[in-house]
Amino acid sequence: MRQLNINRFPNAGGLSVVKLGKNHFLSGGSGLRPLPPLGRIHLGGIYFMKKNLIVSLILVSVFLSLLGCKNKTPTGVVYDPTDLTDSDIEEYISNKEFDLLILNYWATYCSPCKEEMRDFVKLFDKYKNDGLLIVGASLDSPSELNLIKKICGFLKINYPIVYGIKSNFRNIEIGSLPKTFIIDKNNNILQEIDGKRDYNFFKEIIDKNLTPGSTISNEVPENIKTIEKKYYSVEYYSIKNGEKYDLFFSLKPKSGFYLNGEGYPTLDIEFKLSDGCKLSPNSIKLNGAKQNDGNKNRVEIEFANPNIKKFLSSTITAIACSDSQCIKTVETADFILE
Amino acid sequence: MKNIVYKFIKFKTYVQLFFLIILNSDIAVFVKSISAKKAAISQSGLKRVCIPALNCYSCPSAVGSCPIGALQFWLNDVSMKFSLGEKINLAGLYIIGFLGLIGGVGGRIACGWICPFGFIQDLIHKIFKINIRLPKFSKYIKYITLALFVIILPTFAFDIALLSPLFCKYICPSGTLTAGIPLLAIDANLRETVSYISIIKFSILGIFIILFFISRRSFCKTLCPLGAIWGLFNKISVVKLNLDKNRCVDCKKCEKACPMNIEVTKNPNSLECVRCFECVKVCPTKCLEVKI
Repeated sequence: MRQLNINRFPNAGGLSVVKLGKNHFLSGGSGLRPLPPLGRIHLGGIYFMKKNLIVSLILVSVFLSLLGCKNKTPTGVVYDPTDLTDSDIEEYISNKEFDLLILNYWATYCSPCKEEMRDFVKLFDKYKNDGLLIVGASLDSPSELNLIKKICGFLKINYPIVYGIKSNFRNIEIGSLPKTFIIDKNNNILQEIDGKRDYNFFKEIIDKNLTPGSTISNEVPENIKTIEKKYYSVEYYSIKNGEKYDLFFSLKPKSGFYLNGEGYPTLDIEFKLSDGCKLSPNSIKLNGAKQNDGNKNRVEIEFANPNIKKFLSSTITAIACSDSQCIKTVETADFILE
Repeated sequence: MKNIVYKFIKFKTYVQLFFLIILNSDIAVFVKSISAKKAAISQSGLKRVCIPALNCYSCPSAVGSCPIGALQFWLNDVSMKFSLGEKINLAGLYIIGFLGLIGGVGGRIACGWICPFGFIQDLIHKIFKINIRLPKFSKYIKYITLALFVIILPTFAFDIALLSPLFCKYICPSGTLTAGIPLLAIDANLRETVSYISIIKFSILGIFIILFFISRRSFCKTLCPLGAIWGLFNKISVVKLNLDKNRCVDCKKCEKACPMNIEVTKNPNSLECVRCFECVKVCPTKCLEVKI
């Protein structure tokens, strides 16, 4: 860049340019008046060429215009976490059926949590038919419902999301996120995990605590019995386990029907207790997923009197829906145990 | 007026010590964390307030939040909410206001008088009095870090699940030293999560620890984004350095004393000046003064 000095500047109208230090001054007439350096801008101790500055400003504004680009919202179904409830977490999980529960505390503002949830989606997909349940408890406030739904849609969450409003679970303080509890089928905490872990870490825990299919035995006996009802059939078999019996049953809707459609979340099976009979559990509430996909449900029975006929009565209350209507059915089913 | 200022400067070390303690005064949380062998971070309401220093939010006994961390979180939040079509939270603008306020008052004065990480570097220098001049380009690294890791990348990550405070996550040695090391020492479970990120951060901390012994305030000179922001206010701040050129005899004592290796006689209010006023202390002709 040319430096202006007295010798090269033409003497026009009695004015001349004087260079003092780094600055140029116009002298003449009423005294010295400062001139900005020609084509150069002084910023932060460095000289920039004016055109460089303009180019970089243009680049910056192009970059900032990227702010106008919204993230593509994923096509497909936005996950609607219908299980999003503000009931107590403890009450919520006590109503659920599972062989292993991964209770994961997260929040919309926690990015490692969101990364981890991607792994949970894959794990749930893989193990949901083996008795795994994953519940995501969000520590956001209920006013953030829309944000939670959108994020769950973005992450394609396939497991229930609830509010974990109190930031402690069984008096264990949630100090940092993500925090995950591994809970067994008897609602005992097996493990408490602070911080993000990867897919393989959880896969190991699942493989250790979950046996695919039955928790007692993997064999499926040939003597599966069927009870035919009007809108569904009940398939069952039992396995003798010492003095106790394990009853495994599932409900299969007849074609054209499905059990417990929209808005009717539970199906009730109540077992009649006969003399000397200990039943665990003695009544079962099943949500839609549990009895529609052929999952085996398990009841443990202990008969105090070994001589009585091994026989279990139950009353099943269900909503059977076809495309056009839903009908409430109440049926009795008698399970004969071998 | 001048005398009061000179007396004040003598107490600078004590002021720095005071702030080191006060900004990390939630000892109760630290003790609880150690006894429970579980990582804990203070959750007091004061955590909502920014502090004028690069003191990591995650230090177990830290009071208040690092403004750089707060800025990145807020930009993450704005970006996520914007891309999901949700209402943007504008309350975070107070962070920028806070930075402007401190900067307007004294430029990088908080660097020189308040920041505990700067204090640690000063303490090391009291014993190992070497202060080599770092290469000229190194002072620009902090502007690149500020632009890229603090502002641009946290805002423009294109996956909302990966939005995170990238400077805090991958770089900040202050966080590694004051938060990462204590928390890892306390919590065995946390040690299991150590991965490549920790290797990067500890390497950066390692490089700086070596640099601390040979070049005073090397972090402040090269990397600190907070210093970068406040440095921009140095020329316009209320508390400034004033050089009386007529009294200056070019003895260069100020330049030798300056921790940031500034050519004081040429550029007293340079963007690097942390307002430690060492130059004012040593000037034999008292031509440098603090001007308000």
